[in-house]
Amino acid sequence: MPSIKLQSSGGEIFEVDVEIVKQSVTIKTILEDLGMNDEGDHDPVPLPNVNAAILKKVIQWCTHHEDDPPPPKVYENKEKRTDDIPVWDQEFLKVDQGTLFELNLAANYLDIKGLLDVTCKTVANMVNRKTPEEIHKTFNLKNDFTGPGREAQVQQENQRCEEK
Amino acid sequence: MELPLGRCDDSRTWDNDDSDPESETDPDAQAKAYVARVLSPPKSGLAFSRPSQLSTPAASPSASEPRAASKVSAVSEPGLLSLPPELLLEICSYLDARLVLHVLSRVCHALRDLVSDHVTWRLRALRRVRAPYPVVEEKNFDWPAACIALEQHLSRWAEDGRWVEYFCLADGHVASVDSVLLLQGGSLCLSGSRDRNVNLWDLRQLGTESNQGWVWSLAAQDHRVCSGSWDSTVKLWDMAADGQQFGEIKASSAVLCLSYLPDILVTGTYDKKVTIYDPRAGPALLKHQQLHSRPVLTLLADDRHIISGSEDHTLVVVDRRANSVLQRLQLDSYLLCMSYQEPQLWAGDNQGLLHVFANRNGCFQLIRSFDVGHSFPITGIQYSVGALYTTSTDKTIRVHVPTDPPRTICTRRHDNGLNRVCAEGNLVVAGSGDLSLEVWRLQA
Repeated sequence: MPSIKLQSSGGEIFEVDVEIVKQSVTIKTILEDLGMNDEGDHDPVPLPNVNAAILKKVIQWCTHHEDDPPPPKVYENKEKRTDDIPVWDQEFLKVDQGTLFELNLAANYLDIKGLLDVTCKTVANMVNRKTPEEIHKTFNLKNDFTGPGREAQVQQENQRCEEK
Repeated sequence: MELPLGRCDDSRTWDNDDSDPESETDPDAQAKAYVARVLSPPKSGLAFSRPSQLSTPAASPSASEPRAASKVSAVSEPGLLSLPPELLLEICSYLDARLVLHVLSRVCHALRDLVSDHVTWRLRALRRVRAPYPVVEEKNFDWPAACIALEQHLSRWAEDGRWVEYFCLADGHVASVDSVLLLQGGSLCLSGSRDRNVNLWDLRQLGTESNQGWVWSLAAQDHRVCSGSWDSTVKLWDMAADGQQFGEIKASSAVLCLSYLPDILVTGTYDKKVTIYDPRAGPALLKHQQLHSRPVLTLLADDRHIISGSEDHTLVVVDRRANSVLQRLQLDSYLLCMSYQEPQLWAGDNQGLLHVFANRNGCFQLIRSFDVGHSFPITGIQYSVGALYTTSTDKTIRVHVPTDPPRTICTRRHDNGLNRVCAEGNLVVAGSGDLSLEVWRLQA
């Protein structure tokens, strides 16, 4: 089976099955544009936006999902739900926040819809049903609505929104 | 002391040994160009107008280039705010609209700026409905409110209305229920019937008031209710005073439709007239006009206009301030019911079609006509920014999304024709020809 070489931002090379890696529309397009579909030894495809650790995880995800049916092109008014993340993906995404966001960014850059969806849903689940204070805590964010004047203004504006 | 943006518990750092921008024939440059072209965020207004103190360059508007995130050396790991706007919005699309609008806006400036952008809400709404919306364009359309209303409507009637509770209140009337009205956010319901009664329904009690004729129309202003009847009277009841009648109007003929405002009460009658009363004094008759050549079937009034539809196939618009007829629109059919939320006036006709008129600078124009599947006269219509309900003598009530054309998301069949529909809070009620009050209770 033909394989392709991917190069992470740090220069590390990963050799991966072409079919597995084509789940990334970005990589698929690069390969098509450069006519790298045929056999032979090619230069590695550089991915300077993805470091080795993340690339490894992405390849792991793609390998597991190799036989998934392709995602539908247009979502017919699907109610967006977050409770349908496959169990394997849930385990796969039990990582620290930094890694989760890096996977989210990588899925976005590499245009891997399935991985993008589950990472977004996972983050959404971390936000869902929380108060602002709990969100600060979960994501280690600073509440920059400081000062009495500013806070009062914000509260006023929010009240107006809620009254609608 | 400033808190770090993301958790720094891992000593992993971004590789900073990326070389300078490569030549254009480089696949990496091609990939970047592709990403920038296809994944760039929507044009206007997504820039963070006020970056928070802790925002990194990654949170800037040029974040269609994810590369920006990797250039941050101040923070060793990306936090939530280092995600580019389009990713944050993708995450938001999985969250309830109200949480996004009210909770996220209170977290920090960066998120607040992201979620208060109306373009964001317009995109979100259009992604959900996937059809032209709204039917009538207007400046300063409240996209966040519309989004919230649409999502609530779609989720209440999801899976063909699986989560909707249905009640059939059949022991209140002994004849066809021709008019219904919800009060107090949906906790009280009034029904008027050919058995000449107006019934008040709530969970525990049934109260009955009497009319001499079929109660054909109901309207309310705060806690005051008026009922119009075929016996040519309009009765006024005060719900705050235990349903006591406090006024009565002797009209010139059967009262077919009503509109009740703080300063006027308007009736449309069988003898083709539109009459205006002052409900506070008397009520006293202020003015009557024969605006039509056939019975007046449906009526609407606000502080600027009185709009009447008649069996003579016309829609007449009277300007209240100028006290004169502003427009007389000739139609191919006649209108039986209307529902108005400025600037859109939705009406149902006797052929089963819906018509949308737009209020453009005080002048009403027919914008669209739709066939939503009713093949018989449309007896009731209720339009709001997020939902559309229609009832018909074809024995169905249909639930739609008010897009162009309306998309029907649920249909409920009944054994008999349905007359009138009213939706308020989380309740939808319709009167039916077989004596019952049909009630649907939605999830809050």
